[in-house]
Amino acid sequence: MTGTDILIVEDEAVVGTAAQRILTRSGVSVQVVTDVESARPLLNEQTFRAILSDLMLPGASGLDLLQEVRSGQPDLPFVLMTGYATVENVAAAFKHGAFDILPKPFDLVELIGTMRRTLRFSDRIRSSEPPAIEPETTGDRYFMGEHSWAEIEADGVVRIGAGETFAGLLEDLDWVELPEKGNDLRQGTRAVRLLSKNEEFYRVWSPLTGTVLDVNEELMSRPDMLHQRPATDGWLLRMYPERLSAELEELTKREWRNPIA
Amino acid sequence: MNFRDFLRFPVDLIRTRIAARVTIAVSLVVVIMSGFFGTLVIHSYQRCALRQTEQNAQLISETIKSATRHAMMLNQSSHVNEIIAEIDRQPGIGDIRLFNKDGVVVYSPNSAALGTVADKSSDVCRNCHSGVDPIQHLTMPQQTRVFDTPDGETYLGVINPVYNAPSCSTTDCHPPVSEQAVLGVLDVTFSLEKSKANLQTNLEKAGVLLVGAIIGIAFVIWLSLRYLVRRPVNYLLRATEAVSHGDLTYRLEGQHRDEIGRLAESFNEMTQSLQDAKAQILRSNKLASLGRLAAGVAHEINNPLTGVLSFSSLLLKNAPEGTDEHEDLETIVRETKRCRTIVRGLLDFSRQVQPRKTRACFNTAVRRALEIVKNQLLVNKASVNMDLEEELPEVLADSEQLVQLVLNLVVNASDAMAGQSDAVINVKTRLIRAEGQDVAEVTVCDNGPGIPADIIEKVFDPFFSTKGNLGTGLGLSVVWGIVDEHGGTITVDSPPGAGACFTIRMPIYDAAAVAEKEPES
Repeated sequence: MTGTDILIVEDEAVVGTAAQRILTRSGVSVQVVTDVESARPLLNEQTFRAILSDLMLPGASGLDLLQEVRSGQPDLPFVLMTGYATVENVAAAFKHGAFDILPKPFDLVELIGTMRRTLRFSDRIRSSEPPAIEPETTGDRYFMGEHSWAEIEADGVVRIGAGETFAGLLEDLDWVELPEKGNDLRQGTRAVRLLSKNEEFYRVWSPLTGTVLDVNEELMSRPDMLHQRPATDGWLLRMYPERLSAELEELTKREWRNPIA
Repeated sequence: MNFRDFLRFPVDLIRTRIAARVTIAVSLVVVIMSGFFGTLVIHSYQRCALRQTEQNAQLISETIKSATRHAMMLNQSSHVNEIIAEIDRQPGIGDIRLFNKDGVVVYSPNSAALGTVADKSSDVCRNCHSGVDPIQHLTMPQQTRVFDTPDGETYLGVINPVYNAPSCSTTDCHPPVSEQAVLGVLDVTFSLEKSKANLQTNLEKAGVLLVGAIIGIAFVIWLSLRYLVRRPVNYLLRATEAVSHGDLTYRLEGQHRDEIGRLAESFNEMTQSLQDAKAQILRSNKLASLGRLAAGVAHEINNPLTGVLSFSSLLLKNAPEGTDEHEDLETIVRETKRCRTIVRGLLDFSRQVQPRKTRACFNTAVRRALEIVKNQLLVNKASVNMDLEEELPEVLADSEQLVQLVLNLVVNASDAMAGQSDAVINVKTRLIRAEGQDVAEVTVCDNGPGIPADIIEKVFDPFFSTKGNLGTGLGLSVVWGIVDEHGGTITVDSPPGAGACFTIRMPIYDAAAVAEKEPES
């Protein structure tokens, strides 16, 4: 493939340099710019496979760039880096079509894991590979992008699972780390950690805030269920939501859809 | 001290001392009352004394008449003169005159007066001779008169008519009774100087006694006020001064059972409430500023932390395993991740959300929370006793957060008793009256190891945890934040050996107060 793989937009030099060095060493070509103004001409001139942009930038923000890219190049997956201070924008980022979120500070494994998966997704869209999972019929669900879902059960308890696009990329899953019962999760923070067979780490962001009541322990022995049946048996956890009515507004109520189409 | 200062001193005393004001007021009342009653008593005493003197005078006048009667019958005027002169020498007797029918002095120890004629309009005669015919029988007041001599002495005069009797007319001296009823008048005067002097002496004595009594009463009042008012007032004053200087731990001690005791008790309650309110405000402010600080720190620290973490993890990947370098880099990565966890904890904490308040019931929240943790409690082998007050009024609260509160407290209690075979959690709701308003109270009590006294003050502080690495140390501070947002209070009590007891109180839903707060909705 010609051209640069990833465009990094990051005003903080140390972060940009670190990301560039790590990704370059993992065999991915990277170009770094410090603001949206410098990114625009590059996006017009070159074809990238993915964008990794900071949320807080001088001038136009990462979210502005995300919206521009979604309308101009909808096939270009966009990963938003964010300081945790703006994690409440995670739900908004997914709503605007971000492929994933990479919270700062991150380490090598997290960066490589996220970006490799993003590149895989990018390639899959472009090659129009058929979806890896069977579409399933389900009840009312609220989605955070195509990343995770929440289904309200009786007694106000909510079941959480992985979204179609996210689950569709998990064919090489090796290990699932579920949260402890009684832990508090917040909307847009890590709910579940996943490890692929080639030692890439993934994270599932919680679509809601609440207390974990129950986890799907079957996933420990059969992690592949998360990839194969993410809407039913591959659910992740059940929680008691703390801010349900307010947070549902950040999610999208819709039908389960073909992951990548 | 100059003269103005000297004058100002008592004025200042009256202005600044309750005891001085009360003493002066009571003394004034005593003076006025004593003056009033004293005047009444003196007046009455004077009248009594006069009456007594009149009676004595009357008696002496009658005695003269009786004593001279025999000599009169024998017509021995020299003997009559002797008797009168003898009586006249008695102390206190001024003058003795015997007038005949024509007003001529016929007997008197004062020879100059003999033969003088009394004018009918004179003091002696006026009482009987004021009409056309002379009065023959006189009443006591008509017989007596009080008068002052030109040299300023006061006398009492008694006139005593000498009536004709058949025995009188047997001699040639007097005509028969049918022709003349009254033969003459005996006039005796008595000096009142002595009784005046007595009265004066008595008045002086009474005056001295009165002044003494006023001084005595004032002293007793001053002493009583000092012990009954000034000391307790100073005792309260010292306490209020201590509080006004910011010492909210000052407590009044003492065994007063009176109003002062009740005042002290209510003062202690007030300072306790103030202390609690201050702690509440301090904690609110601490949480708020910590939240702002956290957001700021996270913002600034996350970028450099990204640099450290990503470069160190890159170096770690390239370092050959088993080398010191690899081990050191592992430490750097691990500790940087720990920093990340701390920063995230801070941010979690700073992101506590505003509650969406509606009418909500604590009983429902308790039932839902216990339903949710049912399985976890089974695993921990903790049993729960629910004691809910029926028809507990609703509170104005975010119903989801109420569940969160109970859930947190129950899970905490269950965690505290992990491994305990007889673990029991009591959850109780009550409607009580506290600080003048109806509040819904929820208590979550356990029979676990309790909270040591030295850390009980800190349990609501952010990042305080007894669970070590298992807890974030934010659970109870979040609970505290939610309760605070709802205008409620949360307290913890842990008597030694009796587990821990958390009490949440929230004002009950008051439609009127809500309408007043949001008139437009």
